[in-house]
Amino acid sequence: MRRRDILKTIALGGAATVIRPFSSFGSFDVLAQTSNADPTGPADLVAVLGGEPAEMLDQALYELGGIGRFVRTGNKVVIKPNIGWDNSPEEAGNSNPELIAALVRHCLEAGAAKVSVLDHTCDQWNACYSNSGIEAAVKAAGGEMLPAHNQATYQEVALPRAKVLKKAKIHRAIMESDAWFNVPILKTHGGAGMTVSMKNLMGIVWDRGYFHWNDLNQCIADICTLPKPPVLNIVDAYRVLLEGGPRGGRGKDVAMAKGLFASPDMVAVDTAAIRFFGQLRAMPLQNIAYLQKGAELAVGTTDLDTLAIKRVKI
Amino acid sequence: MQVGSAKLLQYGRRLGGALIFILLVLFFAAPGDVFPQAAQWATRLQVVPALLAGAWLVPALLALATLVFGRVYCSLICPLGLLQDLLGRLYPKKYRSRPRFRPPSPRLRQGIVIFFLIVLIFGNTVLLSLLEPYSLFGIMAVHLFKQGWISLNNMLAQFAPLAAFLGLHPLQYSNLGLVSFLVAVLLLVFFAVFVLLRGRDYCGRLCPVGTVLGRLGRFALLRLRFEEEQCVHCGRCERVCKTSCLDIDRQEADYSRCVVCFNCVAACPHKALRYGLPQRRAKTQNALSISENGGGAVQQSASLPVYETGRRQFVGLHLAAASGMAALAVTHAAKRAQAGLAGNAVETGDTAAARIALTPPGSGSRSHFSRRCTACQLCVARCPSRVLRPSTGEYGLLQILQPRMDFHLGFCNYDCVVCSQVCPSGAILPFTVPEKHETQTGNVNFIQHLCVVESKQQSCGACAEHCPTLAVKMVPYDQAPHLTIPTITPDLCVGCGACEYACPVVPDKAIYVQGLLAHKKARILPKGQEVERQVEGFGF
Repeated sequence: MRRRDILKTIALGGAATVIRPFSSFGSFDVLAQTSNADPTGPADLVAVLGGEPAEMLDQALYELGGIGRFVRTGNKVVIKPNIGWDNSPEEAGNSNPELIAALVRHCLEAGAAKVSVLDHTCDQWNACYSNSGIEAAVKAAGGEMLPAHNQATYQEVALPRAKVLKKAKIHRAIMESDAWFNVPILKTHGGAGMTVSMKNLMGIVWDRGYFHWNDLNQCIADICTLPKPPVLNIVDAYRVLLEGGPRGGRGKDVAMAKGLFASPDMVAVDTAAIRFFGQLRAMPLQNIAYLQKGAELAVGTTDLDTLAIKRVKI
Repeated sequence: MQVGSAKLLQYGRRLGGALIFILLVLFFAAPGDVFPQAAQWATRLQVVPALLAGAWLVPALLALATLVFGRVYCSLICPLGLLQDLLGRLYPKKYRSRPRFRPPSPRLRQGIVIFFLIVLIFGNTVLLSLLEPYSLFGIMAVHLFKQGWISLNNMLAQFAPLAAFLGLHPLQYSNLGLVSFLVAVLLLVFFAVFVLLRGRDYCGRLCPVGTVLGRLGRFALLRLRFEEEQCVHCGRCERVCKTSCLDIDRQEADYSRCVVCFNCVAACPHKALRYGLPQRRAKTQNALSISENGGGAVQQSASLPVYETGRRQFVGLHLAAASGMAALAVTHAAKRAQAGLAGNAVETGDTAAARIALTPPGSGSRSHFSRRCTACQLCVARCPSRVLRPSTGEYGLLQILQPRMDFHLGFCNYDCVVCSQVCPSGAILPFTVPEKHETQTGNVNFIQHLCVVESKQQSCGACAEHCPTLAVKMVPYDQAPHLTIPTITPDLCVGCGACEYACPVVPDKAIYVQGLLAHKKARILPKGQEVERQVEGFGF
């Protein structure tokens, strides 16, 4: 190495250490550090209302103790949005692309080596990836899209705690990741009542027909006993499909709800999100059978009073 | 006059042919969206699809080109011709066929042309696709080359560093079914063996397109010309002739079979063969030599090649066939109308036997589709949803291999128009996304006692969640208040098959799509509204 090169390396390294803290989205990062020092600790569940998707995510991550709690330097990260349908973002069948892109940026800023985004779609996969706006947003943010429409990319995983679904084929990238995020969109579902974060796990599984044939609600609860749960569930309730879900489209109205819910506890975050939805349209919790089944399998709790909840309005 | 040097002609022919061949192989075999739709001009140049599509300009230009240059279509544009050239090269040189001149088979060829015309007029194109070169190529390409490509991709994708470098992911096989796969294998074996034994004799004897073009090729302006005084009768030209049409004894080529490959011109060490216009000098010399010969006139007529004698017979046969066909056409049309009515009357029952297979959107009706589709499989190759697959009797045996919508591996994506963009024969007419949304290719049927909700008293909703039009939706189930059960609104149905695909009930699905022999217009709902809802608080 020549002297000039050595000097250059030193200069670049120095610049990087200086620039990094500032480059990572401004004030929240600094605040997050103070929050970590807070003796009361980070929240178990965060609800944010009234902002744009990216700013609501910033706020939620801050309240949860910062992205650094979930992603470490050099980690392989997978994000699992709902990209099930060949829908535009306005039709609210898929997770919000701005939200996914913001999460990709957070992960990269936390030092993730690679951020991959995937979903086993229902409609034709590349149409879903591109028309949802998620593919473009993720690529622009520095992440990569992984296809999930081929059985060869799935591996069998035993689910010892499950009642019916004793094993399932799970996407390899999920099992091989260091941390994975579950980022569903809040919407109605014709069969299961509502689809939020628990139901979103069907998109990491190869054989969904088995779920529908063998007690859908029990299988949803069963898949949530996956030995490798998501590090965080972030529920996108920015646009909410009010009826005829889970596929958006003709004849189906959408409410601009501007909400976001986040928690490592799938059952809790789903309970919170569905109670929020109950204000838009009647949706009794007892109609959503997989919540109770999930609680029975100790996936999480439906009793929100036992949790440290942070509510933020922007 | 010699047009260019022999080598230049040969290389030009190879280059042009290679370009079209590579484009077509990519178009048929490249998986996913790897290859742009732009390659479709190579399919629009194919004679039979263009004829069926009513794009008369293409056949007219090709006919004109044949009248000037000879059968250049066969050496430059026809993918099956180019495939045969490649297959020939797979064999070591010593095993390759060394054909001598073989006399033509005028009756066989006339028979094939008549058959070709009958098929065109009677609207069953599937028989045609068993002989027509572009479609034969397509059947082999989608079943063998595409699956080969996927195998290779998946093998390479096993090596992580290489896969990361090339951006490879494992791909799904098309799983097009055993019957059509076997047809493709048999075709490839046939051509591989036939090429070894007889060169491109398929093009010289069996190909209907080649036969028709050959009729014109005989009058081509530019063609092979012998320079008698330079020829030493070494026979090298004969041995390199792909269609065995060169007769060194007579110093003549059967120009109806010549595919203008220029091999003979390039092989001749004495420049006794050239490709170009006739020379006046040569003509007078010829006349001279005849008069010198004395009994020349007699000899000339005796040496008239066999293929020149059949013209009168040919015309006669064609006229006879045409008059016969006109009569047959009327009875056939009547029969078809009857069959159509009978088909429409089929009850939409539970049994699989009563199922009517669905033709793709854009095909309008079964009868339009059957008359236009050559079963080239291009739509099957490009369908991103794997819903278009070659039929194996679902339309009846006379439409075998014509694609149908099969909901075992996928369903028709609501906003996808790929098949209509690629179809070169007008079997699937172009349509836009809004036009597709209004097209009903079939109707949804629901068999409640088979449904999971009723039979197991469990929630499901797979059909309704996949339905893009609300033709299937979930409503409260009267026998169990906590459950919802599908309800159908058939006039909203486009026949995409998403419900049938998603239904978990086996072997007989609780919800399925019954095809329509003539497509209808679907009712469409207005787009969803973005509604304002006042939210008081968090709700918990």
